[in-house]
Amino acid sequence: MITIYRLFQIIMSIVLSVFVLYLLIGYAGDYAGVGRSGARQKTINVFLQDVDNVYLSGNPVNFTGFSRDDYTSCHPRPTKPPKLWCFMEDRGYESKQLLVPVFTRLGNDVLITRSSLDLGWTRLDYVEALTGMTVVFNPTENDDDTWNLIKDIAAGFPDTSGHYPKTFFDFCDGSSLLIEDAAGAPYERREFLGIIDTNRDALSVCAAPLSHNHVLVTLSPSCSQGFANSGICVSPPANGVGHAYITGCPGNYVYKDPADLAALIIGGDGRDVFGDCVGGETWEFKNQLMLGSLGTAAGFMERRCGILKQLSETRDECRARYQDFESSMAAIGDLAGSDPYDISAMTSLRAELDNARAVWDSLVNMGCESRV
Amino acid sequence: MKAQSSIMEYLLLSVFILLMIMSLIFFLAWWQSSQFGLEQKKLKDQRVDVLMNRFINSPLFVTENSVFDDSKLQAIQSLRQDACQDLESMFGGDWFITIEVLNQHPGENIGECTASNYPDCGYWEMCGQGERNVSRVLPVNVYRKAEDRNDLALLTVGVYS
Repeated sequence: MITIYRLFQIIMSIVLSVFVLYLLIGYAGDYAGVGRSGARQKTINVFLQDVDNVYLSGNPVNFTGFSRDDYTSCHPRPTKPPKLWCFMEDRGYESKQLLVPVFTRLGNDVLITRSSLDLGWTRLDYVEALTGMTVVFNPTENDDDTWNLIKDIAAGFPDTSGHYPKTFFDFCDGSSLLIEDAAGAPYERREFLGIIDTNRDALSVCAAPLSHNHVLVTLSPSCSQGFANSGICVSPPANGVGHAYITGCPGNYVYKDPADLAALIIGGDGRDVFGDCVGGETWEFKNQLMLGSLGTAAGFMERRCGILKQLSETRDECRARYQDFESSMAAIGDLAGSDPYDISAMTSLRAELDNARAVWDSLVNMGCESRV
Repeated sequence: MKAQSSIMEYLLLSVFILLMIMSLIFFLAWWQSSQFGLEQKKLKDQRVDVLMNRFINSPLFVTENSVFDDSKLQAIQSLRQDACQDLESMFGGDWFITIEVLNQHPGENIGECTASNYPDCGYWEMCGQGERNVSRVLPVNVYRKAEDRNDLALLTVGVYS
């Protein structure tokens, strides 16, 4: 017959075991959840460290950290301050403040490279973090403006020769893609720019089936909302500035340099979990950072010109050009604060940047300055 | 009596096991927080290194890698807090840099640069806030625009807590 003491032992053991198990399982569950979130946040932080390193050094880096996670979207958002925002499984993850312009099209394997906008008197760098993709051009007109625009767009992407994953370029004519090398693959940037002048022709509107790794870029003076079947529609530039449209997204996006078009194309016509257009968000982020940097650089240069004009060692012919350059910097500083959607302001900005480049070149040729 | 002492033993053993488990949990929490502190220090060190690399390469400050332009430094320093706010949007906040020319030429001054003594000076400081924290020092060159020569200097980059 069971004694009272034995019964007490059994009941006490059960109560204590349940209590201990409850503590341990609860703690382990919390810890596992925190650990998983921490690991994903760490992946984003390490990715951004690689972005910083590439921005500084210019040396391409291959990043595979995202292969461990299944994420829905990951792109920069033009918040205040701007941040990289990723959505993995059922949670969102924000990065620290983004100080470096980075355009992302992420996957299991990502190549991080640096490109530059050379303005003559300064340089604005930006980083592209791309998984394998193909930019498919569909020019509906056969003129110099269209083909020069194609060259500018291609030049804004990295040359992935000797690196992986690849960025390819192709043409679409009606229902077929045109370029194939001996292995049946489209061309990388170097080969593409090499054949572009020998194959000029207006093409039919693209109706070819495209995978999610293809981004269609339609070039037409008739570009508007809904003109293209997918991707980006780019109208020809006037004085270096033009409009671009993202299929399925509202908004006329103004481009004034290759980085604007790169941001729109890399972002693409997809939407994030908030329903925002990724290409549009990337373009706004690009202008938030790079117009800000441009304004700062112009402000500093304007003050520098004022100082150099006063120096007794400055030659008279240099002094006169510094006066012109100072005026140009003042105008650029003002225009850099304009709305990037305002095409007349961006046209004026582009004109002032071209003027500043010409004045700077004359300063260099006169021996007043050295090349940046 | 014997039964009571057995119960007491059992209870004491249970309490002891519970105490061990709670100690383990507290130890793990303490370990996490100490690792967190070390991680913060490491991040600060990394930030100083990144800032240093960015400054010695940025066209805002240099004519070429590690060669600062004294006229650019003078322009930025003369704008004071306005320049700091603009630079914070590009480089983040809570940092300072100083550039100190080391080789003094006969008849020249290498004291702090102001609006009235440039280019006869050799020290620039930007975004200083007072007490310093983590910092690094690197030898660099300063291109003297007026004299058209390079001078040796020390770049100090620091991050506040």
